[in-house]
Amino acid sequence: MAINSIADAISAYSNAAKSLGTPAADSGSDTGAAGPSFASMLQDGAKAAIDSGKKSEEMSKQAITGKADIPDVVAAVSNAELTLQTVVAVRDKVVSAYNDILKMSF
Amino acid sequence: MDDLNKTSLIGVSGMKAQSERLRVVSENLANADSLPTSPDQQPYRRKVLTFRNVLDKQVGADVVKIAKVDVDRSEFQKKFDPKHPGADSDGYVLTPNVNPLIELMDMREAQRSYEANLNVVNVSKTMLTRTVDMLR
Repeated sequence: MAINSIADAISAYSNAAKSLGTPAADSGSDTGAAGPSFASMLQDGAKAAIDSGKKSEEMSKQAITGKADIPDVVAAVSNAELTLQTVVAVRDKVVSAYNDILKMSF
Repeated sequence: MDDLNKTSLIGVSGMKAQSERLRVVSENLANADSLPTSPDQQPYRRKVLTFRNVLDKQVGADVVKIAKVDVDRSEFQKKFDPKHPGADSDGYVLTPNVNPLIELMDMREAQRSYEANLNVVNVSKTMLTRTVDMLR
């Protein structure tokens, strides 16, 4: 009885997967073409982080030579820090979601 | 740009304005005893500065800037000191129109305003960090 119900469940599941297979693949390729990919999103985030990092380093350099005001330097450095933190947090979140999906047993 | 980022930039502009104000105060205080070296010269004249709101295109909001560092046109004080090289024929020397008490109050005000702007920057930074921490 129990074995039967498990076999039934598996066959129902594979049937559902088959029937969903073609439309799911289509919609998947559609969204992939319309929206930005994960790679490009990460790339943009990394670029923003690198840009603000460069700005903060430039300000630090000017501060060492006495050309920049300390408040400006502090603002630039903390802005770079925060941008990097945001990018890292988003990346971690998306990678963990990806891992969760990977661990799913079909 | 994020509103909280703008907030910290505006706060930073306030901090910079107040530090310039403190610089003027220190000039006035340091030169409170700068007397003339001959009778035809004038002593140090007190400096005052004025703030002005300026629309920052990059921020998209009004930030504070120093409009002008001007001079205080009030009268010089006189001190009786016939031995001083800057004394006139009656023995009086012109002294700067700097009142150290006023300068000290101005210094304290600059300090408090600086701290207020610092707190604004700190609060906006904390709010941003805690928002990002929601992702962890």
